[in-house]
Amino acid sequence: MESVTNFLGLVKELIVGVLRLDPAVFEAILDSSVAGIVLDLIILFLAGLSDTIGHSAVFFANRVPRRRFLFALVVEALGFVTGVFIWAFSIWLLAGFLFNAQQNYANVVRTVSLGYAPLLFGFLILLPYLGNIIFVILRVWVLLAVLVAVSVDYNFGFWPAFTCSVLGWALITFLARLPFLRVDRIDSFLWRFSTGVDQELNSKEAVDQLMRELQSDWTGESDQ
Amino acid sequence: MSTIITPLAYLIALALLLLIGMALLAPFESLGWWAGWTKRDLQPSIQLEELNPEVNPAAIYIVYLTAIGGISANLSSREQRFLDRLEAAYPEKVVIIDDVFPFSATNNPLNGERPLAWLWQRLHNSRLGGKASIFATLIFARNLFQVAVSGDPRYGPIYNFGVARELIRSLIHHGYPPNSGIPIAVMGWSGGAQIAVGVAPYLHQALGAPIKIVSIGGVISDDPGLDQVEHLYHIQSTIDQYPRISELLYPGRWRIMRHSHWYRAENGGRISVINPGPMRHTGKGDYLDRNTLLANGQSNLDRTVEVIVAALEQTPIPELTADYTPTASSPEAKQSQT
Repeated sequence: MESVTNFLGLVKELIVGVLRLDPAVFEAILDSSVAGIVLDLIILFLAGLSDTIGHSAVFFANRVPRRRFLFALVVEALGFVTGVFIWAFSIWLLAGFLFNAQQNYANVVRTVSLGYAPLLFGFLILLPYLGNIIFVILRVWVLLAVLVAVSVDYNFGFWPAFTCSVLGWALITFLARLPFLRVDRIDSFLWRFSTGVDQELNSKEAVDQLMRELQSDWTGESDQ
Repeated sequence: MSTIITPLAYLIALALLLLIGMALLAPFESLGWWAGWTKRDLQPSIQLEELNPEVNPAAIYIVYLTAIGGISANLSSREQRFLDRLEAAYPEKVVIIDDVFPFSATNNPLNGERPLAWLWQRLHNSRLGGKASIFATLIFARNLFQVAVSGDPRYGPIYNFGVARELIRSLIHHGYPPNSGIPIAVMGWSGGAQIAVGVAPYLHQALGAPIKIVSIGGVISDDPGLDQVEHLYHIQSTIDQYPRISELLYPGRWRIMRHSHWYRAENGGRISVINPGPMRHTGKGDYLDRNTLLANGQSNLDRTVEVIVAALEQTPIPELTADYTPTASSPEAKQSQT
């Protein structure tokens, strides 16, 4: 029981440290054991899950069945984790290419993953009206935490860390839009796989589609 | 000192947690309905057999959406009196519709088919009984969160479609002939005005009707529904500060956002802000108060009715400075005739 309490205390310290943007926490995670890596990944997954819950309106808008909902959340959260790994890879690549700085990729993944701890509050994005503001605040918070993570990884100052992080993100966004990479197809496949629904619509598109169907039904029946 | 402060701090924290919990759950009523997770089906929607167009339809159909204090479509006696006066004062045949509860996408009242229906009813009863219970404000909070759902682009389309669907049913039930071009005025008090704007595009599309909005001290976001509104009459007293909340909270209502839905409508001359005189948002001296008199001797209630009729009839709003004497068409005169 005591070990569980100690463990939870450690997790709390870790998360609070990230929220405070404390470089010492990122340094500690770099020096930690395998258990530290697992803890790191658990935090990242939970952050992804919480963020997905915050955006879960899209599942409802597309009428994802209740029995599929949990599965869809988990698959989307795993997709989120993969996205973080890709961003960490682009940061690692740019740090080596632009600044000739060397670091183990696994270490970059660990610190960048930890930088996503603010998204543990991602479920608050659900809040009507306020959720839109919380979304922006959490994203900025994550960016700042990742900047601290990268500066700890490479012993960088602010600008090199900023360059690697933002350019890395821009690079992924650019590559994702290249037609021949067909990232949209992967996205669509993941959506279909997780939700069982063919097309992803936002709530306005979903309602507009139903309105069109209703109107055509109505017009068709009226003509008979 | 800490014996007072610590429990107080815990109480405040508990209240905050309760409010956050309520706000987090607020979108799920309409989302669950839309996704088919509840017993309330999305279908059937508008059935042709429900069509019952009047042979001699009204000149205008006015839909009234109550303020955030309501727990069902059953209106308070003062709201009912207001609608009666409005009907009596209207110079043409008018149908007033008030059977839709605007704070539920499925027209499910708080004391309806809900697990906590008993609680809402008790809170409502305690408020009606004059007991100043802080818990009764939970009704306001719950409905306020639904107003926020209506104004949120992520949830608003689904929520507003749900309410619109119920309004369409009611309009058809009351004999509204679709595609007749007869105007529909959606009138909302306080938070009801936001929902009035939210439902406008769906009423317009489904019924082919020109939609007018009457906002009585309305708290309205920069809702895309404004694009489909023929005219918005925003009745706002200078001493009523509540509508200013939306001017502050919603960036689309900020003066610098010249291309927002709100300012596009305003620049297009589709928004009229009408000051009816000094009236409070709610309670004694509010827009529906028949006992509080204005400087010219007219009651707040009669003034509000007069302003609404003039706005919808597109006649000049009578000056408040003029001495008020009931005319042949005024509510008092009509009631004395009957």
